[in-house]
Parts: sequence; structure tokens; C-alpha cells
Amino acid sequence: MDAALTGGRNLLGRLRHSSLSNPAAIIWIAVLALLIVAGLVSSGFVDGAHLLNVVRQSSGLGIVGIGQTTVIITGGIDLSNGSAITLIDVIAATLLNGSDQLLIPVVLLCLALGMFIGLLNGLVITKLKVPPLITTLGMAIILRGIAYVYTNGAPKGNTSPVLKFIGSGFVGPIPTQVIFWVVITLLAYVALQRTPFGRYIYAVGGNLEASRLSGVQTDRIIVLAYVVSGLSAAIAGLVLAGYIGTGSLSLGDGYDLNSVAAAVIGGTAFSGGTGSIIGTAGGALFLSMTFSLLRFLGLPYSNQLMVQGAILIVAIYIYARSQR
Amino acid sequence: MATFESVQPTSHPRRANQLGWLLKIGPVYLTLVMLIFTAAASQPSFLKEQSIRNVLVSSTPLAIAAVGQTLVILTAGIDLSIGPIISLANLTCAVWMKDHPESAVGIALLCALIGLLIGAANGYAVGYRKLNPFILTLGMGTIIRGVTLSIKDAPGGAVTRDFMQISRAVIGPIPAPVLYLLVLYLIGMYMLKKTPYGLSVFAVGGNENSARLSGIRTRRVILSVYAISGLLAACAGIFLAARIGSGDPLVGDAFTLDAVTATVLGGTSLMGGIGGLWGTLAGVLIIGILNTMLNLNNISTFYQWIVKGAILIGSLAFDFWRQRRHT
Repeated sequence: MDAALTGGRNLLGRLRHSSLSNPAAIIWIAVLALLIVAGLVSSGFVDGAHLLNVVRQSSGLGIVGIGQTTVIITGGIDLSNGSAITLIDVIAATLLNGSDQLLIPVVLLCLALGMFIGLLNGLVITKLKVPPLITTLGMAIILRGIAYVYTNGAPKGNTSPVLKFIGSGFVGPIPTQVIFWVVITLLAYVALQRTPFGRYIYAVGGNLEASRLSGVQTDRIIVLAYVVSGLSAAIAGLVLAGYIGTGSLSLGDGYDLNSVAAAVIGGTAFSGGTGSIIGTAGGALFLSMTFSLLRFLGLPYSNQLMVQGAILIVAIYIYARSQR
Repeated sequence: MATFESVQPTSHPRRANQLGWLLKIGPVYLTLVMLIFTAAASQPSFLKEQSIRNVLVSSTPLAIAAVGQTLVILTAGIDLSIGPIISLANLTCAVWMKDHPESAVGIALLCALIGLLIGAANGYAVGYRKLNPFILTLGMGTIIRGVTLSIKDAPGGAVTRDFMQISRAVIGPIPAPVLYLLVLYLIGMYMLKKTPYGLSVFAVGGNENSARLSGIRTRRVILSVYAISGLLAACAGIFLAARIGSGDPLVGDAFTLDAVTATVLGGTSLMGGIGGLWGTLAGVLIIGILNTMLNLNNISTFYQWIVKGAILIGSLAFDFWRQRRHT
């Protein structure tokens, strides 16, 4: 929290915080190390086009991870983002039905829907005092139900050319998704580190009572955090919808817990008050690089799961030690 | 607030204490009774002996696993490895028993032991290493899922005919699973309410520091609740093997969050220190009845999800509203 509150005030403090004890630095060093290991164990993995493809695979997770990180910093959790992605995808595919005619209204509708889901989560959590875990879990079940009811179990339709370009096109050699991810990450970074909103997010997660007493409208900040999470799920939903090009009822599966994993691996503490968007981006990249490497080496899905679990445990072990 | 609640039993006269207890577990039983009425009104066959027995027997695995989850949540933790442990125990039990039908009992005991050890590892990491339980058990669960799928990635194996009796036996008019539940919950409630161990579980959840300062070996208590949770999850998996007759590497998936849901519906606070098994049992039955009722009424799975999510959020919101009105 200190880092966030005084962030950018003096150069010395900043340098000290970007040392090895900074989780965001640890994860990016880990990403580099993984890259070197990958280069050693397999030729062909560390190749420009292939690496860009790996980065592309992590953009969806990276985008949802932004919202998840914001929520976890306030001391909450959002397990409804995976179902939100699925719902956004089936709605976009059905309404667009392959043409760009309705693109802008549909995109706006989807973004509004994501924010509305977040708003509901936030209101239930702050006004009705239902724990975040249960609220967003219940919301996830409801959203999945709605997605099935809406499509009657058989999703129809296609996304439009523009959306497909965002999801699977290239600008020069770089996948459009990646550009999208980088831009959104930078925006979110600025919002969290350089604005009063960002400072309040950290303050609320660091000490709810103290922030309330110092005049922060804590409920409003928490609600806003969930709105950000809903919005980032909607953006990820649209990007992923563009990538697969059709409606799918399983598109968002796994994004709920994987986004938590990306945030935690990136150094966001589950107790709230600390964490960073840059760390989460590293976490998302590290996870999908590992999976990609394991697939590259021909290891089955079951091994990926074991490695993923081990990464999570090692990450919290390292961060727990570095805090002492 | 958690601390005050957990101190209450010793600082208040017995009578007031009992009244508070009724108030605390009241709403979940109210929900349960309302649900039974709704079910009976919409589908008269719901009250037949057969469907009551169905609800009870099909709720058994969740009821077993939820006891462990309740203990863990009472210490302000959470166990997200329950589902994967259920799947692992279920699959290994069936796969090994197919190859060695002669040593069915040994295999079942071995599977239970594996669950106990996994739980103890969780408990060690949370209690002694102070790792965050949500992330730790999520990671552990992911690893176990990987192990289970690497043993067999499709349903298979078979249990012996005798072994199936574990779930099918009927003692007098009562199905054996109902007896297991009765015994398990009575022991659990006795342990939680009447023994020093139970008191220390509440104390750790209420305030770990003050519990330690008052001489409770908090780390050992934490280790023990996760170990019990792992053991009971394995038992649920073994029971499922006896009920289905074979193993399935994904059979436990839904149980992790259902066990959390049942516990929380039953009034156990995720912050620890408040709650108990009475409520959890009602929570389990609510989930079981909902499943049966929605199926009996031919409501599509799609709408069932919406109803379940709404009940989950609604009942907790109602609980808060009710508490605020009283205070």
C-alpha cells in the first residue's frame, strides 16, 4: 500500500520498490528465465512468430486479469468473469450474425452489460453484505443459466469481420489482440497508479475502516472495482469472441480461477491492499508460456494441470517468504 | 464481531445462549421447511417414501464432504481441494478394486489414507507455513486433478458386488447412508460443542492470535481440520464409487463449491468462528431437495442454474436483512 500511496513521489523510493522484493519484478524475471529454459529445452519455441502467438494466447487472460486484480486489491474476488465472457460471446455472435451493420450498438450493449453485471455484484456485496466469494459464485451460476436459456443450449451466429480482425488479425507482424491488451493494460496501470480512484482502491483493500474514517466513500469504490471487473470481462469476451468467430457456451470456462491465478502469481496479495496490473500481465504471460511450452514438448493436459497447481503454490510460498 | 460471538458461550447464561443458537440456525431451517412445502405442493409424489429416500441417499456424499468444509471454514479457512480429492479417491478405489477385487477393504482404507495425507499437507501449509488457504487448496486441487486424469482420463474401473452394499444396504426401514449421516453429524456436533477440541476450532476462527495467547495450539488445530476435510472428502469419493459401481475422474467437480455453498447457506461465516454442523446439514438438504424438485418438475437444467444462483445470493442477503432488523 505504501508503494501505491507514495508512488512516483520520489525517485529513490521508486528505485527501492522496483528491487527484487517487488513481486511484479519477480514475475517478469521469472518470465525471462522461462524463456531461457524454453530456448534450452526446445529449439523452435523461442522464435519470433511463435512467441508472438504465445503472447496472443495470453491476452484474453491478461485482459480479464486486470479486472480481477482490481477487485482482489480491494480485498474481494470475482468468480463471475468466466461466465460473463461466455454470455457476452453468445450475445455478440447472435446479434451480429456475421455482419458489421450492428457492430457499434452491439459492442456498446456488451460493454454496458459487463458493467451492469459488475454493478450488481458490487451492490450485493456492499449493500447486502453477502461475501464476495458467494455473490460472484451465485452470479456465475445465474449468468451461465442465462447464456444457456438465451441460446437454448445451441449457440448460433457469427461475429463480424471487424471483431474478427480484433480477435485474430495482425497489424504488421503483431496480433491485434496483443496491441489491444497492451493499450488496455497501460490505461489500467495509469488509472490505478496515477489517479485518486487508484489510490482509493489500494486504500480500501489495505484498511477498509481507516479509509472510511478518512473520508473515502468505500462502498462506492468497491462497487466501482466490480464494475471495472465486469467491463474487463466484457472486453475480453468481445476479443475472444472475435478470435473464435462464433458463439460458444464454454468460451469463458476456466477464466474465473485462472485470472485469480494470474493475479496471485503476479504478486497481488489475496489479503488485499497490494498488487499491480503489470505483475498480473506477467502472471498471465507466465501461465500461458508454461502451458504452451508443455504442449510444445508433447506433454498431456494432466501434466499441465500438475504444473499449474505447483506454480500457484510455489508463487504464494515465495511471496509469503519475501514479506517476512 | 467474530470475536464477540465466539466468546458468548462462556460469558452468557446457558438459557440466553440456547436462544441465540436457535436464532442463528433458525433461518436456514425456515428456508428448508418452505422448500419442502413448495416441493410437496408442486409435486405430490415428492413426499413419497421413495423420493425422500432418494433425496437423502443422493445427498450423502455432499453431506459427508460438507462436514470437513464446515470445520475448515470455522477456522476462517476454505478447502477448494475437496472436489479433486473426491474424484481421486473415487477413481483409484474403482480402478484398483477392479484389479484386486479380493482386497476391497484394504483398498478403501488406502484411498481414505491418501485423502487424509493430502488434507494434512494442506493443513501444514496453511497452519505452519501461513500460506493463503484459498490459493493453496486451489493449487493443490489443480495438482490432484492432474494426477487423477493421468491415472485415467475416462470413467472406468469397477467395485465388487459386496462393496456396493455400502451404499445400498438397508437396516430395518432405514437406508445405511442415512445412518452414516446420523452418526457422522452427531459425532461432529458433539465434538464441536462439547469437547475442548471443538472449542479450539471456534477460537482459532474467531481470533487466531488470542486463541494462541490463551494456550491453544492453533497450528495443530488448523492442520487437523484440513486433515479431517481431506479424509471425509476421500470417504465421499469412496461412497460414490460404491453407489455408482465404477470410477469417474470428474465426479467430484461440483462438490467443492457445493460444499462451500451448503456450509454458508447453513449460517457458517466465511470469516470463521461462527456457525456449525446443524446449519450445514440443512444447507446440504436444501441443495439436495432443489435438485430433486427441479428435476421432478421437469425444469430444464438451464433454469435450474438461475434458480440456484438466485437462492444462494437471496438467502444470504435475506439473512443480513433479518439480522439488521433485529439489532
